[in-house]
Amino acid sequence: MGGDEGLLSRFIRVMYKRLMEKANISSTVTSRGREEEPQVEEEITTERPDWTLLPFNLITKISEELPIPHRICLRATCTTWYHAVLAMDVPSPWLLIPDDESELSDSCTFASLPTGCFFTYSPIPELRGTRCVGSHAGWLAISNVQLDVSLLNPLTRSQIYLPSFTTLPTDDLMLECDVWFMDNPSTDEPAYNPFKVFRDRFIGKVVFSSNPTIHNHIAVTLYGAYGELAYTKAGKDAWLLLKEPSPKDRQYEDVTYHDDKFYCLTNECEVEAFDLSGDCPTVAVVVERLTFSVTYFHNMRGSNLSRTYKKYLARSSTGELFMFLRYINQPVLPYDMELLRPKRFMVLRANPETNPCWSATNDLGSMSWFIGTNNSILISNEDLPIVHGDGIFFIESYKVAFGNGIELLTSNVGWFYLKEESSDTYYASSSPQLDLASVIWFTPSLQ
Amino acid sequence: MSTESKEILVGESSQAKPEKKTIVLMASDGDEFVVDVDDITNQSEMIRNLISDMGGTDGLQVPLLNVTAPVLAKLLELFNVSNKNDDDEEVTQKVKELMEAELNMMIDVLGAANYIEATSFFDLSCKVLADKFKGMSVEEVREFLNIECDFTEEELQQIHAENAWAFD
Repeated sequence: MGGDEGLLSRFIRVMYKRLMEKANISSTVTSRGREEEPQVEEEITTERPDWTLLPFNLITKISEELPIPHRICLRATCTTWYHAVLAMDVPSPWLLIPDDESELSDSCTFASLPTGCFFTYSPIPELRGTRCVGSHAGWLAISNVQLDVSLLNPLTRSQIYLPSFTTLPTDDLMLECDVWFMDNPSTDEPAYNPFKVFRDRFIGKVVFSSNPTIHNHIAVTLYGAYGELAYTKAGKDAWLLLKEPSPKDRQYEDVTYHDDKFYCLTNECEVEAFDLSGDCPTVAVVVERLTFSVTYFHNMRGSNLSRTYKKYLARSSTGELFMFLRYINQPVLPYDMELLRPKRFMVLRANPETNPCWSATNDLGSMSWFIGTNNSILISNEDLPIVHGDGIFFIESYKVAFGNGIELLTSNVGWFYLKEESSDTYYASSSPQLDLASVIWFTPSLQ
Repeated sequence: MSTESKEILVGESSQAKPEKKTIVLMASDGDEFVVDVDDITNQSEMIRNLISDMGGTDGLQVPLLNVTAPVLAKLLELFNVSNKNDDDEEVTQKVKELMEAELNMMIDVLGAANYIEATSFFDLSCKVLADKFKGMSVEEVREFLNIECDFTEEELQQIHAENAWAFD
């Protein structure tokens, strides 16, 4: 992508610097002591040569040919190699940045949030022609424009095929896409491909079980114009509708996987926990919905909270559930419902064990939360030296229309600190290409 | 080691074309290798600079104190493959074969290529080795290279903590 690369690296440097300033830490990157270079012995007469006696630059050169995850293994072999292989501290989580909006690229860029270090990883031929629709524990869910879906570990290149999105239960998927197309006259007509529209507009996210294998995996897709859920698992050749048996007309807004269960958040802020491990799905309501007429925190009624905020769900390892609310403009609201000074962000918590009702909080239990198309990640602040207090790092994409008919797609990585209620942008890019693939949080694993 | 003079002609036969210039490379054990100037300067930056500094190739003898005759012979053989082929496929294959058959020799050849600044060949060989390391665990790398782990327990813990995800 040529010139954009410089732009990207500048962005990442800037965001890293800003984060560091925010955290008031001068630098966490330490230079490795080259002066400890071991004495090289002159004579090499043994049968098996000692690799550690090779010139430094040679080991460095070999390591430079390796992708960073493998360099980390090389560094851990012995002290000489540790010093010869350039320090590459790339702690999790990473931001996966697609290299090419045309989806023709077989590489992507990873940026490590805690260190600001970033690198391009290639080749990953499996990525070509696809975009990421999910991410969890080292694995990505990817889909091409033919709507083939698979799970991929980009570092090991292990791949598991899932049923095509064309098997998703829906009344008339293509009709929905055509309606969308007609409502969006700015769309480039010759390039109109209903499959692509379906993938880019109607697939919310794919969430899947940890350590997936060909014979053992479960995945749930949030999709459609009205937030529906479908699931598939090893051995199934289609996506099956996942619905609570009650006749209530509900829409889902987020799904998260934790400890063998899929936690699904409805537009009324109810949380259902689906267990899909058995032959038939079982479901339990673990957090009650907000009542529309009741006034909750900040003098806001349940109806307002439900309608004007986009919702995200996470579950901590201690069993608590968290809901992040991000204010979205909703011009269709009746006048009396409009908020004068809406809070842009709010966090609610509930503990299904003790009190299955949402209550406002400014505390994530010394953790930070990473939100996007990925399965929500909660990471202890101890593992994130640059984070100063409980924070939420979210990825959002939205269209900005200008008066002269030009529309730009803005992709933002922002953060929000709960205690101070402060927020800022960490990375942002704008493009006239409105179907640009978004960045996604990624936690690397060589499993 | 034999002290007899060996001749290895790199590239086209030089007898038919006497105008072709040659120089002599001397291995550490005194063996002499006559090589075509174009072929060697195509590979070695050090020798290219040397010829340019000396202002010519007449009777030039280059002593390579760190390179033994078998290693130099192997290196020149690989240069020959490289010079004959426009793409790197053939020579990459040869380097791979050498790595699998005689790892010791490959290490020495790498050292020699580094010494005479045969940059593109050196880079290519490093790539072959790096490809071999891809997908190897730490233990497998240690075994392959015959490396002893000399970290203390604390150092090991520190290294694992830096990038915990890479070691599980």
